[in-house]
Amino acid sequence: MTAGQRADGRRVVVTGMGAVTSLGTGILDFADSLRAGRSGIGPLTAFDAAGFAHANVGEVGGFEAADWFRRADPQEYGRAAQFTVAATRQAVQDAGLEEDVLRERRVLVSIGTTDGGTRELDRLAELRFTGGQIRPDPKIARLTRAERISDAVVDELALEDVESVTVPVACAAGNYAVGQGLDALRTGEAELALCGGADALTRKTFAGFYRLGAMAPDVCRPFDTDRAGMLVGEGAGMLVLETLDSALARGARIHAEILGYGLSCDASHPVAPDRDGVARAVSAAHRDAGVTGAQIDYICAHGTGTKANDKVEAAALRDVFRPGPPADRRDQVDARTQYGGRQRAGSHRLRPRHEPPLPAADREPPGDRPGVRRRLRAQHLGGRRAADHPEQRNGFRGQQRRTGPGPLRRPGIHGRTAGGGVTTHTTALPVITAWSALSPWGEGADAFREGLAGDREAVTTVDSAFWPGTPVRAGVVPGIRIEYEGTRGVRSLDRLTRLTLLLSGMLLDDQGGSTGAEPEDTGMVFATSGSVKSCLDFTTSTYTGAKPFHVDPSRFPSTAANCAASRSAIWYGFKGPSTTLTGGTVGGLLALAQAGRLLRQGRAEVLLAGAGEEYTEDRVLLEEALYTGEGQAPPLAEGGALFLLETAEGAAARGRTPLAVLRGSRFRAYHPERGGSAEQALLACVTSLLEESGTDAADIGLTVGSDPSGTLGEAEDTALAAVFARTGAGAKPRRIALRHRIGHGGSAAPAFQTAAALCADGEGPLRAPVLVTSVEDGRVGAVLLGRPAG
Amino acid sequence: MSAIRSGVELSSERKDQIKAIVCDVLEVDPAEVLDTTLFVEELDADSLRTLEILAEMERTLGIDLAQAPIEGMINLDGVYAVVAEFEAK
Repeated sequence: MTAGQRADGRRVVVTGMGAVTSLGTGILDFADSLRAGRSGIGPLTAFDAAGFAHANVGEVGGFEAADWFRRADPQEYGRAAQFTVAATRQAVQDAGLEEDVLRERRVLVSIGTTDGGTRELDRLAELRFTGGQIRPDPKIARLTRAERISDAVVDELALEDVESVTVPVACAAGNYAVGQGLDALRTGEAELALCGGADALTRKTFAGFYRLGAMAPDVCRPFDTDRAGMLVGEGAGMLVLETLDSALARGARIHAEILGYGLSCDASHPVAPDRDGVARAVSAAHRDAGVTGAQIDYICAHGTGTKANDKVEAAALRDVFRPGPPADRRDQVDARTQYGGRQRAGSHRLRPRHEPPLPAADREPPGDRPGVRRRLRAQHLGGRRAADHPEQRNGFRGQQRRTGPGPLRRPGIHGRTAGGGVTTHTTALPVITAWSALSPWGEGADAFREGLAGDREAVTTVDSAFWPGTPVRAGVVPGIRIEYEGTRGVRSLDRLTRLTLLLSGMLLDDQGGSTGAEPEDTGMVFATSGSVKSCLDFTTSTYTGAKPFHVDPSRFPSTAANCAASRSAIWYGFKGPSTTLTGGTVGGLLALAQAGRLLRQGRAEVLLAGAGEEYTEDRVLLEEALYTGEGQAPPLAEGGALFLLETAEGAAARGRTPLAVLRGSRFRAYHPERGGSAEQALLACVTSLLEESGTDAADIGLTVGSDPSGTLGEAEDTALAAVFARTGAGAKPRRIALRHRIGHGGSAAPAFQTAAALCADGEGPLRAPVLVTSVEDGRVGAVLLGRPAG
Repeated sequence: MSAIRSGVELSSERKDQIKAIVCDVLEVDPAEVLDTTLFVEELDADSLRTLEILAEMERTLGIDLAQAPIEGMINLDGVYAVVAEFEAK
């Protein structure tokens, strides 16, 4: 049998590709450069490289954002988001999709990144250092949010029926995004997915890797005896994914089929790679795809060229692929996956249609890579047929993700036969069996419940760190135990990570210290905007030290948005999927949606899903800059909530009683310049959610709104009133609002709302459905929780 | 045992500075750390911690250890030797 047959008929194919790279912009330029063996590596010009003994990078030259933007204003987006729009425009054109056709579909936009808007945060740090400018320039502040990357695509294409998420999980991020697209298409939660990865070179990350001694002085030599490290690059790669049926129906050219992917978390070390973690992810991808190692024809390895990675990765691949793996071409573009892995997917998909084998630039003779050399020869000799032998792409350490896209020669899937699906996915809806919260009302679910019941004011004042004596209004977690006295290993953790560790620990403690599932089947899906302060402080330290690399290496992991979830995984030993998402205020709802998807696809047994944010004055100042100025932003809340999600059968087997069923989620975007409004968008969002879940609005017992101030709040009220006016039922459901009591939790806000929803019927299971809604500028989302069966 | 690899004996003040950095990075009580106590085997350190020690010394002692043999920094004696070598140059 051939690879990847699925019983449910939802096979997913790639129909469009786009790339912005140091080797050229556009798939054809990129491919030409690869075939010609050109290297995209050169001296750094993105920022002042003075003080670094060596600074070679894969930089995108001569990029003009205005060439690619047709609707949105390029100045509203950072460099990484601009790359993304360029790659997306190419991919959509390549797919032969007209914009109005695209706009009628239900779309998932998921884009991986390491640094998000850090290029622009770097600029704020520079201005702070050189000009003493503490308050961020509003023009730059707007560009710094990671979710601007996926937002840029939504805005440029004026998408409305869209779930938009940025996945900041470092080197594996692009693979996460493609996997999310695959799952959303399989579950029917999307008809089309725009997935990929994007990054812009940053001083912060360059200095960090330089300090770690991971950066090669000249070129990257993956899997070579004389390898001396990685190099960083920038760019974007985007794919258009759709179901096979959809592609065939519109006569689209199919580049490849995505057969499956796998993910794992090492849960061992923030920097050092782990052989078992890599091998588990690869094996999971093979299981998902329904292939064996022997069927794989090509591997695009992570291959950073560092001593540690290549040794561990080669060993892991040998574990999975005996007698030895095929090989790769990392060294031409960049050593690290600064694109979150996406660009490589684009390069590989070229092979089926562009036959010549792609050479490796700057490659030294193969050294300590037995097996790699042998298979490389076999591949160049054309020993295997691509259609029967899928390729494989690897990414990162700590968080592992593997995809196994299967190349197709033409639409119609030749050389394949029908067979049984291999994924044990379920259509049953996930349930929430437990939750905990760390909120301005205090630590734990009880404190939250009491604060909510008493409608207690929890916004307080904190002394300004920048202007001592000046009060800052905020909802901080009172009496927080984040110092962990006497506990080793937390010295360098930032506040967000400490809060998240505490929150995860509280939820686990309530379960007797364990989720009851195997570590490999336990994971986390966490929405956050990360620690702005960690990034700003780290970049600032590149200016304040005698040398730009005189940074504290132990602080480097904290500058990644996925640090909080990753540290929780390490601390508590979650070896299943570890996902961090960012998507603005609706982030907490996006996390629930993604966790539900992972469970339904059988990628985990138990997930801790939720969201969290930290209080820092840097976050306050950024928010204020985003509003119209000082004093205009609502007080910020910190903390978060986590929910234990599992299947109903799993919950029964582990002896837990469901508190609620996750009946569904829906997201939309609106564009005022096209006549869209928050009110219409939320009404459409909730209406489709109710339809999809077969829920009568009259049955809803409670709504928990996002409670924004001003016109957005009015829009939320009006939309919800319209939903319930249509039912004809006399009584409207109860309504809870909490932002005015605890502050604005950012992406944690919907997690607080969901916690409030679960308080609807005391400590017991929900007796009637609860609707949780979120409204922010340009985006809305809704989640529906229901009464558990039985 | 003392750091005399390059014939330079570090001052006790210098050694105290270094020990303070090491104990701070490794989050251990200075009383628990002898000059021969092994960082990895006895103090639960790893290569990142060793790198942190090196980075912190560069930053706060104003020395350049870019070419230093980090592999030798297995205990305080090893660190003293690395710094002594730098100061001898």
